[in-house]
Amino acid sequence: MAKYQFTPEEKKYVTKGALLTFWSMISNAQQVMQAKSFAMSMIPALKVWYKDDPERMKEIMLMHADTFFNSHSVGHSLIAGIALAMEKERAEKGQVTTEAIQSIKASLMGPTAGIGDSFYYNVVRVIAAGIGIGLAVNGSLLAPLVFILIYGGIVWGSKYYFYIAGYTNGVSLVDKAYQLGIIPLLSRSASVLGGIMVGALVSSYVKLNIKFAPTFGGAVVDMQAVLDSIAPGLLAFVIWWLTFKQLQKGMKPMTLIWIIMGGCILLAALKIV
Amino acid sequence: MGISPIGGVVSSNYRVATTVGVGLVIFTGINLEAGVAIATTIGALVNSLQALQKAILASIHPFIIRFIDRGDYRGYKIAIWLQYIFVSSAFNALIVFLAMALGAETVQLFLDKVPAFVMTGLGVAGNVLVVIGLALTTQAIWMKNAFYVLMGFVLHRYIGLAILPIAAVGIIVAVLTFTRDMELKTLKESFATAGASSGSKEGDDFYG
Repeated sequence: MAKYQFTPEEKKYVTKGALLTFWSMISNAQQVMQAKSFAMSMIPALKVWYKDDPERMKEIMLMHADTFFNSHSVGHSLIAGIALAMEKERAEKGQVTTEAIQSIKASLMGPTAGIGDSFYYNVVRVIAAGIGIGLAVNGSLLAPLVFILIYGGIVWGSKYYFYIAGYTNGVSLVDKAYQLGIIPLLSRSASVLGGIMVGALVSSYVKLNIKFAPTFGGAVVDMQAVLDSIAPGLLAFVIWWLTFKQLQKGMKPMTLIWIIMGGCILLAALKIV
Repeated sequence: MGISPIGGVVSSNYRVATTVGVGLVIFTGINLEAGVAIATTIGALVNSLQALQKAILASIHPFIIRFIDRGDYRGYKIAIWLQYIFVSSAFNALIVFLAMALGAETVQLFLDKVPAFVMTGLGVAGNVLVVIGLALTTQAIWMKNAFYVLMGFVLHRYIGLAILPIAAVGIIVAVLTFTRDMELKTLKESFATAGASSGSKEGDDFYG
């Protein structure tokens, strides 16, 4: 692939975005995980593209900041770069839909989290720590610094590289798809993939077990075992569906937070969960 | 203590325990075993309070989002940083400080005053709240049927596939969908060119 040519302005906001993804882990909230910092990295570029349309920018920011996002730190940067490339197409030509961008995010976050965790935590960190410990055993005060520089340097270096790579390759691919006129078709199949990955994420993130086990004349009925014998994880799927239906009906996410927290405390008080 | 949480499963607060243990041994000169014992206690204490921390983080999220509604992106960034410094980081430091100043037992005694069901409930809520974000994502990519989501769920829960193999299956299904759509499109176009009427309607439903 030919080397991507940045315009001076583009280079500025892409670099700013890449630097902002260095702080990908600072915004954690249980319901959307890292979504707020994900949205944060889009601010410089969106400000340029939507100079004259602040309302549209708000919509896009909300869409990124208020939907689930969780991945490994390097995967986070890669996906942020790709999403930015898709946003660029949307800002300039308007064929890419919210649906497509969210699908790509949902499809990539799981796999990159797995790969990133295994590689950076279990390989890079162990090697960096090994070097650091070697120095520390000899009494060198530089040991922690060396560890931080090697591990942090590799992670931040990768984050920067993958953000830029995700953006440039993303822009080229989206441009090509645009020329071929297949963006609507690609969006559709992307949301098929996104839907499947959301299902897998619901299964892996949402955990709820019922402790309620009433005794009837000496016989213990373990409700969780009963539910498991019908379909394991049924509760997680049911809760996802109910939450989704309530959102479709226009309930605010804020209300849902209170309902879930209050409900869980109430159920815990009744010794059900 | 599990050191490496794979794919976001947090096992125990090794960060706090390490800091406390190493700090104690170096600065007070107590022996290693005593240091580890105190560190594990405090690490566990911090972990038991994590449910509370998560509840706080979850409930301030909507307020931070409001900065976007107002178009105040500077405020938004500052709010995220403040959340990180005060709730994500200083929270643990505060517990460690209290545990050091008052003794871990005193803090534990104080904690025991809080009804157990509150902490249990918050702990359970921590694992359920994520459903909101996932439902919001679903809403953004909704394609009028839940079968694809059900498919991902079944692949993960019942067939027991890991995320990466599920992505592979997903890609295959997506490519099949794409190929079929592509064939339908060419078919439609050939009909359109063969017939008298133009194919201008084609594709409109994708843009709404």
